[in-house]
Amino acid sequence: MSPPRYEILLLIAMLIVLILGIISHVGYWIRINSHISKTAGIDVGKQDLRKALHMHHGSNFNTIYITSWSLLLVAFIYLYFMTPQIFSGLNYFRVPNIASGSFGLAALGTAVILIPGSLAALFIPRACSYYTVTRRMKRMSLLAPALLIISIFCSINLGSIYPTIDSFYWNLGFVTLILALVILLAPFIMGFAEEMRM
Amino acid sequence: MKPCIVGIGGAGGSMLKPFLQNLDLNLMIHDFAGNDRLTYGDVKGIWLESQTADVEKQKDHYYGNSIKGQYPGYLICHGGVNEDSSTNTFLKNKYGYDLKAQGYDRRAEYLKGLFEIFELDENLKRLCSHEFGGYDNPLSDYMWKIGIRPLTIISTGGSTSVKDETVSSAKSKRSKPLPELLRCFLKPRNLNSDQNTKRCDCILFLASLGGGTGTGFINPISSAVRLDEPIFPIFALGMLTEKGEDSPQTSEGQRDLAAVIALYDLLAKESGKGIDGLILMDGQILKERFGNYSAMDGKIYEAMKPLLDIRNYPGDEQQDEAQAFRRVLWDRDAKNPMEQEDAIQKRLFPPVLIPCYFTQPDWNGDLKSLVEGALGKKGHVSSLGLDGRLFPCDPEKAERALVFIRGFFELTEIKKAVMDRTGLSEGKIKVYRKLGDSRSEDVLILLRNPYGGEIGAHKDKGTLEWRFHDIIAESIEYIEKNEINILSYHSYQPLTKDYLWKYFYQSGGIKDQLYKSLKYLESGRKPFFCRELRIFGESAKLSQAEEQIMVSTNLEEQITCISRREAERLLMEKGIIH
Repeated sequence: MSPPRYEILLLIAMLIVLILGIISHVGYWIRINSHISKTAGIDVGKQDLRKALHMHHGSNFNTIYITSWSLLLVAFIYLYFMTPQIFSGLNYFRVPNIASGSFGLAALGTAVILIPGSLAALFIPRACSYYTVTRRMKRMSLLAPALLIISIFCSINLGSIYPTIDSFYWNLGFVTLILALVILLAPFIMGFAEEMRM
Repeated sequence: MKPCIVGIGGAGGSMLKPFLQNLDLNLMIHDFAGNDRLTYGDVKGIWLESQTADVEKQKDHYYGNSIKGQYPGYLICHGGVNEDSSTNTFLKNKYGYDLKAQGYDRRAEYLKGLFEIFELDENLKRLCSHEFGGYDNPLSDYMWKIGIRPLTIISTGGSTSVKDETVSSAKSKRSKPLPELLRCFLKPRNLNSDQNTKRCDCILFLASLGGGTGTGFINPISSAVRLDEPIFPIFALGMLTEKGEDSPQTSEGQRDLAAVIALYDLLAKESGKGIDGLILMDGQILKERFGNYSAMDGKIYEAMKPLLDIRNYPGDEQQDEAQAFRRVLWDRDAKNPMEQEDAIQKRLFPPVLIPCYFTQPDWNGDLKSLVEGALGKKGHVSSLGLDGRLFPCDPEKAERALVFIRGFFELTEIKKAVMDRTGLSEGKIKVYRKLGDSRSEDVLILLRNPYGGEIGAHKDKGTLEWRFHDIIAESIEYIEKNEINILSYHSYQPLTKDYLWKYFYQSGGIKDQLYKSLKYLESGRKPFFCRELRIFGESAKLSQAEEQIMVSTNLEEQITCISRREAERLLMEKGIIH
């Protein structure tokens, strides 16, 4: 049995980062709930806790955050599912009608933003509103869309030159993608880390 | 509690800056929030200034012109008065006051007199009303109705007939607000919110005490707002200027006199006529601890954050209502809100609130160290600037303690820690728990009237009596040695000079009252400012019965204080407490 492709290993690494974010979020809730249950003197319902923890982060930050998550999904799909290089049976080139059209890439991107992107936009900013996001972290989040645009451009380049393969562009696309993911998950991970210190 | 924070004068404007800093991202190219900027505790604010030059020479252009709809904005106090105003001409010719004076050179009596004239002179009232379309006073009405009121919930409640020439509704043309569709998408919880939820439910004035504009305006403007809104919560945060000569070479005596006049007027106004509470900070302590004004402003903001935090502890009673907070400040052991409102209406003077603040990393979790960091260790009366007390005071003399705490602590433990340090009974400690930010835990304890009840306390460095005794004595000395300087200011007309002389030097005038205040401080009497004085018009008088009530209350407090100290001494001798 041949070892898994290098790109698949990196995909697993990215999934681990994502799972780490989810674990942090769940852990944060458990820790906060435990602190409050011990000290509040009454049973606190989930709704009350959500209401108490909720804070506004500002329209500008929310806009950037939602945009970044949507771009993250687009960048991921472009990097892994545009050419047959990684998943030969499941990729954009398998739909030649769209792939050969003038606005094919745009259609793929729009579809990704509309379906999974809108779900992410609904839930992730709300989850983020339970965390303290410092101004420094907010400024850092500005990097995310920039990194993701680089990643998307790398993928588009790879799609354009296919079947020629340029591992530099692929690696650059992946590095920018995972960096953006870490930035977007930072509020969750940092929030949990702060709670763990107590 | 969502205050509209009003910085008055140069120092007030600087203190206000951190409160209004935008916590949202600055995208440079577009602002999706429009004028709806994100601030800590969702506060709003405005800077009131009399010196046009000061607002124009702002290096960072932090404040824009609120009249042009810019936010955060400044408002020139006399911006509504034209150069050829007939009201101003009348005022200049008869009294020698100038509505368009650029700054007030550390003279609280200048603005005090100016505002009183508008209440008393019928000809001036008529002239003003005619020229300024129904305004009673072209300064205070302008600042209140154009600057402050539109930022409060009153402007949406329609409680007064004055039309909102709003500053805030004139949305900035620089940036368009977020499209409604996206707003709903981003903030699903706010779908049903109206403008009311974004406006302020109380006012917090910020000013230095001992400066020019802030010192002079804080009292008249708060009284003007009170005239319009009898029960709207109004608080003030005054920072007493530091000791010694300041940068424009103003003597300590002159600044102390300005501060004392402002404090006197704020604290001797009965309930329902002025502010609901005065939070006092000492610039001397802040300067010694933090060095420069910029750092001091930052620390004032930090110290007030537990009060402004809107993330209440789940399950705790509703705390974020300014009216409820106002009732707590006036609390006289009333059993219900109705009784409490009755008590407020009776002859009471606004409380002095001394803020004590301390922060520590959240993994510390030690409540005792947090409370001791704020209030100082037991027995440490004179540890000036070494703990969290932002004005000299003895916490054991406080009538009440309002504790705003951020972190995970049990209510009973918080009360116990404060009880241990202050000696207050559980019922006199009100705790407001907030969730904080998971990085640090901090506490702001507002001690209500932590003075009185002890003879000779003014000699103990580090007590509130000592600090007040010091500035009052300096003020008296300045009054006695500077008659010409006080009465010959600017172009005062003989009529004004005559009134001012009476106010300062006549028997029963401010000098006499300040001598009385010194005696009250020396004998441990509370309050030490209790007769409202006016330059023009009749001053308030205390009846014999009221004097008697104050003396008997004072005696009770003295006996309680002596008994407590004696009991403590015996317990310490026996090694029961340390």
